[in-house]
Amino acid sequence: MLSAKNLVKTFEKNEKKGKKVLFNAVDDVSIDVNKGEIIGILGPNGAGKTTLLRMLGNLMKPTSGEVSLIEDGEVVSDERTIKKNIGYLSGNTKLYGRLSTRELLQIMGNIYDMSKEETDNRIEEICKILNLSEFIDNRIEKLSTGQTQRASISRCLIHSPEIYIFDEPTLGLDILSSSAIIEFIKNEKKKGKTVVYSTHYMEEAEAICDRIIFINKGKIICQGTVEELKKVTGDESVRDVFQTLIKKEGVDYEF
Amino acid sequence: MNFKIIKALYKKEILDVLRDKKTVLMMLVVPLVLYPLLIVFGLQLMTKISTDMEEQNYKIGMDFEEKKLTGLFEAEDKDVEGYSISLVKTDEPKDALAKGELDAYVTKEVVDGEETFVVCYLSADTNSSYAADIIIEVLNEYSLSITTDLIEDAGLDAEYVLNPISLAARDYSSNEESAGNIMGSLVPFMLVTSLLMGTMYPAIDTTAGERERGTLETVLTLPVTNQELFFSKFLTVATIGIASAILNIISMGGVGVYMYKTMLGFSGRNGIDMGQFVPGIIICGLCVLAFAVFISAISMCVCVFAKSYKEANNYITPLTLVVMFASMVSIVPNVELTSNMALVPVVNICLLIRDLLVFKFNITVIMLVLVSNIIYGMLAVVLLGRIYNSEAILFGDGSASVQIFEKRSNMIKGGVPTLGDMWLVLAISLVAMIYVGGAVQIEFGYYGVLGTQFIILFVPILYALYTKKSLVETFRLRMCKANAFVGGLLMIAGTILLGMIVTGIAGMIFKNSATELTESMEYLLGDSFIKTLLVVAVAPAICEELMFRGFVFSSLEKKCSYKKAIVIGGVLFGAYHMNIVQFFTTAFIGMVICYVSYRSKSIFPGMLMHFLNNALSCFTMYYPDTVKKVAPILVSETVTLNDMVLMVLVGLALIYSGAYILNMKKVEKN
Repeated sequence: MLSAKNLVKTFEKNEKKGKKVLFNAVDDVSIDVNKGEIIGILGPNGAGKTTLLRMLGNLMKPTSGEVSLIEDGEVVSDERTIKKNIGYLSGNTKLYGRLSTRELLQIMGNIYDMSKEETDNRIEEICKILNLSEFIDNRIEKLSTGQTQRASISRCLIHSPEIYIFDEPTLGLDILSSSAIIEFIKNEKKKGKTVVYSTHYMEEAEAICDRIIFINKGKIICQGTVEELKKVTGDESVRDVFQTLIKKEGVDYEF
Repeated sequence: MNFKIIKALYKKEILDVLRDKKTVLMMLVVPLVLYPLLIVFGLQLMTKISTDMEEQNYKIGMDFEEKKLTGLFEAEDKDVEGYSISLVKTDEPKDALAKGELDAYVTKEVVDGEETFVVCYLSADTNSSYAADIIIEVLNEYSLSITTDLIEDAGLDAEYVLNPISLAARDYSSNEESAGNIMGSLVPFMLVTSLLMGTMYPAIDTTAGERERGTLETVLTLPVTNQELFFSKFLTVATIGIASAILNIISMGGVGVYMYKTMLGFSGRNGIDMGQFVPGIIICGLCVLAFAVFISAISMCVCVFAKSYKEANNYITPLTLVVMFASMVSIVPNVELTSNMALVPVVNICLLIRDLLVFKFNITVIMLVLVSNIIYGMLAVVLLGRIYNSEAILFGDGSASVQIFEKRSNMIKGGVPTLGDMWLVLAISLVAMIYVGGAVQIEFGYYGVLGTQFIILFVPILYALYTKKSLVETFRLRMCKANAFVGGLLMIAGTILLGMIVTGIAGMIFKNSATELTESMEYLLGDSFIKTLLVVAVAPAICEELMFRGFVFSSLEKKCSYKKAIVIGGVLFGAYHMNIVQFFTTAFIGMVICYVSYRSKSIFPGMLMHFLNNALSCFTMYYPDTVKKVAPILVSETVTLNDMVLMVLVGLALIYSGAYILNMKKVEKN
C-alpha cells in the first residue's frame, strides 16, 4: 500500500510585475492507495495534480509530509525502494530518441538492479504484451506517436512494479491509442496491480476508477467511489459532480 | 552513491552523446579530418604562391640613365633563378605604374638638398612590393660597389674595411629545446581550446539538451539520486572532453611530425629524441586531467541554467571567449609562471605546459598548478552538484535571476539586488577597472588612480538605480547608534593585530607576491601624505564599502544565512584585491566589517573601520620613526613568539569586547 501523509509542496510563484510569492501547490493532502485499486485524480489545470503525483512517485521531495510504502505491515520510506516499486509515466517522461527501445530497456534493467538474464527475459515478455517486436531495435526518434507511447509504457513495465502512477496518460492520443492504454490499466488491475492516475476525461475515469479524488487549489475537496460522489451532489454523472463541486469552490472551470 | 548505477547511467549518457551528430563532428571529424586537411591545403597553397612568385616577370622602370645600375639589374636578372626582370625606360613612370605597365620604378629626386634614389611602388599590390624589394636590393649592391671603389681608391683593402671582424653564431640549445620552444607557444592554446570545444557540446547536450528533449523526468522516475545523476553526466562530459583533446593532440602531433620531417631535409639538423619529453608530458597529462574536470564542470554549471540548446549556446559563448583569450598567454613572451600566476585558472596550465616543453621544472610551481587545478575542479564539481540538487533547476525552466534583463516597467521598486545582479555587477566593475582604469591611470597619473576607485562606486549605484532598487536598503545608508562605532573601532584594532600575523605568514609562503606588493606601495611614496591618504584610505573607505558591504553583502544576506553571507562577502572582498598575500588578511577584515554592518545595519561604522585600517598602513609608510616610538611592534622586522602570542591575545580580546559593545546596546534597544 502506498501511503501519503499531510503532503505539502510550496513553490515560489511569479506574480504580476515579477514579484515573488510563496504558494502551496499541494496543501496538506493525505492519500492511502490500497493494493489492486485504481484511483483517479481529477481537478482543473493548476490544481496540483502533477505535483501530487510527482511527490507520490518520489520524483519531488515534499516541503513537509511523507510518502511511504506499507508492505506486510512494514513501513518503508526509503526513496530508492519506493521508486523500485513504482512505474511512473507522464507527458513529461520522454524517451531518449537516439537509443533503441531495447537499449533503453537494458539500461533501465541495469539501473533497477536486475541481472542481464532477468532483463532479457522481461524484455521478451513485454515485447509480447505490447507488441513491440517490429520496432524494438529502431531508434526511438524514428517511431510513430503510437509506437512511442507503447515504448514509453514498456519503460515503466521493465521492473515489474506493483504500483503505476500515470499523469494524464491518454492526453492527446487518438481513440485507438487511448483505449489501448485503458485496456492496459484494466489488465494490470486484474493482475492485482495498483494504479494512480490523473486525467481530464471524466467518462474515462468513471468507467475504470474504483475511487476518485477531486483536488482543487492543492486541496482534496471530495473523494469516494463514483456512486458515493453522485450521492454527495445528487448529479447524474461524474462530469456534473465535478462541475458542481468546482463551482462551489468558486472556480469557473472551462472544459 | 551507488557506483553500479553511476556506471549504468554513464553508459547510457555516453551512448546517447556519441550518437549526437554535433558531438561526433566536433570530436572526430574536426581534429582527424579538418585540421590535417586545412594544414596540408595551406602548405600547398603556400608552395603555389611561392612558385608563382618565382615564375613572375617583374617590370621595373627607370627614368634616368645610369649605366652601372642598369648593368646590376641585368646581372640580377641573369644570376637569380626563378623570377625575371624587365627593365623599362620611360619618361612617365607614375602613369605607367598606375596603369599596371610597371610593377615599380626608381627615380632620382633632391630631398633635403641631397640627391636621392626614390623607389616608387604600390604597397597594396603584392607584385609591386616584391619588385620594390628587388630594386632596393640592387640599389644596396650599387651603393656597396661605390663604397668598395672609394675604399680601393684610397689604397685600402676593401674586403677588410667592410668586414673588420668575422662573425659566426652557434646555437647551443638542443634540438629538443628548440622544438619545445616552438611547441610551447602553440600546444597550450590548441590543447585548451580543443578541450573546451570537446566539452562544450556534451555539456550542452546532457543538461539543456536533456531538458529540451524532456527526458530528465524519465531519469528521475528511476531509483537514482540527484548526485548519481549529476556525477554520471559530469563523467560523460569529462570523458568526451579528454578524448577529444587527446584526438586533437594526436592529430596535431601527426601533422607536426609530417611538417617537421619535410622540413628536416632542408635544415640539416639531427632528429629529435622524443624520450626527453616524457616526464614533462606525464606532468602535463596530470594537470590537463584536473583541468578537464574543472572545465567540464564549469561549462555544465553554465548550461544547466538554459532552457534549450540554443540558449545554452548563448550562455557558453562568453565562457569560450574568456578561456580562449586566457589560453593565448603562452604565445605572449615574457609572461613568467610565478606563484601568483600559478593560481590563475587556464593561464596557469598554459604557462606550465610551455615551461615543461622547454624543460623548466620548478617543483613548487608544478605542485601549485596541480593542486590549484584539483581544487578548482573539485569546487566546480561541488557547485554543479549543488545546482543539480535543486528542484527549481530540475523541474523549472532555469532561473533568470539577473534583473537587468527584465523589462524595466516590470521591475519592482525597492528591495535589494539578487545574487545574479551581484555577480554581474562585480564582473562589470572588475573589467571596467582593469580596462578603463588602466587607460585612465596612464593618461592622468595620480588623479587617474583616484578616479579608478570611483568606478567601483558608480557601477553598483547606476545598476541599483536602473533596476529600481532601494538605495537606502542596498547600500545601508542608515545612521546607527554610537555603540556601533565604538565596537567597530575596537574590533578593527584587534583585526589589525591579527591581520599582521596572517600577512606575515602569507608573505613567507608567497615570497614573489610579497615583493610585488611592497614595490607597488613604495611607488606611491612619491606623493604627499595627504594625497596618498586620499587614494589609499579615503576613497576605498567610501567606494569599496558601498560596493562590498553595500551592494554585495546586501544581496548575499538576502539569499543566504548571515554566517554564510559574512564568509562569502569576506572572501569576495579578499579576492578583489587580486594579491595572494593580501588575500587572507583582507578577507578576514572583510568578514569583520561584514559582521559589524550586519549588526549595525549601517554602512558608516564599516567606512570608519576601513578608513582607519588603510590610514594606519599609510601612516606607517610615511612616518616610520613616529610609529617606532609609539608602537614599535607595528614596524619591527622580526617578531618573537612571546610578542606573537601577546598580539593574538590582545587582538582577540579587542575583537570580543568590540563585538560585545556592538551587541550590548542593541539588546537594550529591543
